[in-house]
Amino acid sequence: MFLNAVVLVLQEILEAALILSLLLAFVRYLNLASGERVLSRRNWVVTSIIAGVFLAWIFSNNFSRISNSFDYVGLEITNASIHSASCFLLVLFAWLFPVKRSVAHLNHRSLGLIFCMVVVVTLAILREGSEIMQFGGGILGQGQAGLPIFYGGVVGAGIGVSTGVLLYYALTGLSIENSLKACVLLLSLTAGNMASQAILLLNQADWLPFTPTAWDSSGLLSESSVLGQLAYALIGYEATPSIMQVSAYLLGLFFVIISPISRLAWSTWHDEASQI
Amino acid sequence: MKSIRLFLATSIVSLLTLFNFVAAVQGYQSSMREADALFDNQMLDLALLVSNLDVSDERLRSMQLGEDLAFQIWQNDKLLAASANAPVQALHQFSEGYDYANFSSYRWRTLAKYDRSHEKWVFIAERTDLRFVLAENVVLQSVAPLLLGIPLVGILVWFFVSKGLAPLQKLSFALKSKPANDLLPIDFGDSILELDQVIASINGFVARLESAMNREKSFSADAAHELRTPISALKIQLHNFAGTVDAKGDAYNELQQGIDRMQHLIEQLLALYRSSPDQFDAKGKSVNLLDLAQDVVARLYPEFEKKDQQISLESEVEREKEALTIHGEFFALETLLTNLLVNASRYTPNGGQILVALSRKHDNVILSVEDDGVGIAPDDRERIFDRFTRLSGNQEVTVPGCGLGLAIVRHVADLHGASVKVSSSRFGHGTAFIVEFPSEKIVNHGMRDERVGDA
Repeated sequence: MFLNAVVLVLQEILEAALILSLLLAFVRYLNLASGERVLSRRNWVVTSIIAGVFLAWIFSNNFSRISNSFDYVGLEITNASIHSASCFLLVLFAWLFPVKRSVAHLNHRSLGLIFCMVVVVTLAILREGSEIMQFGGGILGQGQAGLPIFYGGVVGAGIGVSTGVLLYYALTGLSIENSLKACVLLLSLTAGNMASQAILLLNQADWLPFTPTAWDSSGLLSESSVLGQLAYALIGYEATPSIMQVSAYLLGLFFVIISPISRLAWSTWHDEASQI
Repeated sequence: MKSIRLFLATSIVSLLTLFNFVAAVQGYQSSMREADALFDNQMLDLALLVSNLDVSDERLRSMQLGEDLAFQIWQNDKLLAASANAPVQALHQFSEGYDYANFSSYRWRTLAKYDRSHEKWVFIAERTDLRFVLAENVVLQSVAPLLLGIPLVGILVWFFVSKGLAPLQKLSFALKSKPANDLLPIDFGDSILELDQVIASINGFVARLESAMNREKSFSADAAHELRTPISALKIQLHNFAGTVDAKGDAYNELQQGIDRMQHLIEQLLALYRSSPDQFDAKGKSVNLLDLAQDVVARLYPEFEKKDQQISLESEVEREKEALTIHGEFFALETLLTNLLVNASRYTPNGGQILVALSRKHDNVILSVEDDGVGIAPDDRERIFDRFTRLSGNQEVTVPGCGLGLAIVRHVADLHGASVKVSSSRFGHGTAFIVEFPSEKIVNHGMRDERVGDA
């Protein structure tokens, strides 16, 4: 019971914490690179957390209604939509990211960037929060027997949040150029992960046909281990992905990689600045 | 990184949490495996015990080992004895070892043991759910302190990080509270390895700054002072020269104006250096701004009259003169008002209006000088307080001045903890200089309170 709770809560918290850390690192980069505090951190983070928790509460209260819709695959369809929207917004974020070192250029795009970040974080919290709320509701009904589950939840949340914090410090501790490279790499992997998850959910809902498994690496790294969960949250690791999932993953990756932000990350900022 | 304390505390607590919790999960997994092996060994002991039971004893048939345990004794495919909660069929294959089985609506861990001496099969079954709960409860007893300890660790880390950063905070406070004219080295008391170099560098900078300022101070003061004498001599000579020959032409006037301007510049330079915070060491006393304004206006009246300008003095609280009293240095304040009024007169055309107004806002006393002159563009309003700054409007060129007057105003205001704002005047065009003094308070670097000294 304890271990199940650890894995479940860790998976949910880790995903949301990593997305938040990644976007916070991007904001820090933007503010440093433009030399001004163009994007205020507190406002959009607080807005998205409040919105996410509120939506998660609504979602978990209407859990059965959502599950029963679309011929009892409503949950899969809703989650697939959330994943697709997140993937799209991450790609849009990559395309909107300012490549010129000018405050005016950034100001011009800041509204779009903030919109993408707020919605992505809100959706992450909605997705993960609603599952944790369901889970928490389950423990409350169990009384003393729920103690191992509670401990498991605390351990999962602790590992998830501390990994997010350490990832943020790791990203922001790098030099500004390397930090951007690492952020772009994680952004593309997260977008790929979202696309792959959306396909898996649509497969489960029978809206998409199943395709053969591309590989089986469960012997090498099990998805249910703590390391497997970390790899899942960081790079979207799956032990037995289908061919369609792998294709969607690569497509998400591709769209971020061909975006201007990648060109910026792999050229130096100075080259771009000299073109202005 | 915004705060070193926050960074250190969150990263240390995060690292501790991550390693502790991952260790807790690993510990849980290995302890559960150990507990499983322990339970299996207990089952084996129980099997040996059961194999020694007398199967002919009738009581054995209704024997109950507890709800979580069951047994069967078989011989030649015949059930010799079983606990009351055991099924009628064999609960394990007839081969030695451990396995799982489902009966009586539960999942059971099963063991088969062959007793060679009695040629009997002993089957033992134990409910997995109860055995798991028991094992988990035992294991979690060792995991729980790790979890509950984290908030306490967090508080302790915060405390120790704060304690570690305290010398840095002390240094920052010492630097912040150092008056602008205090160029003494910082004495930090205890030697701290990480801060010694920083303090030594700051003290080195301060010492170099002090010697540079001393050089600049003596140069400016000496130069201005030394120039005063030849200029006074020059003025006398010019006066004498005017008496001896008929020298009232343009050349004479320009020469006289040039000498006047030079004298004014030197006076202003001296005033500027005397009023700079590092120089200023005046005794503060109560100064009534209404009295001061009346004196200055009266003294400058001929200037306004020359240009046919209308000067007025307005006070909201004339009956309560005390309300317009501030604590400050009389001569510095006189220079401030003189400079503002001379400035207003210069940039106001002949026949224009100049207004000096005094009022109170909350605890503060506000002195404003307004004119209906050319005005100052909003973009230039901060720049005019820089030394030697003269705006490049057409009129500027024709108006005499050295660009130091408003710099002196800013210095004097700063010395009194006052703010100077520039805005449009109430006349529709022209400028308003608004100086807001904290009432009867000294917010200043270096100004000593006479009353405190007297006490």
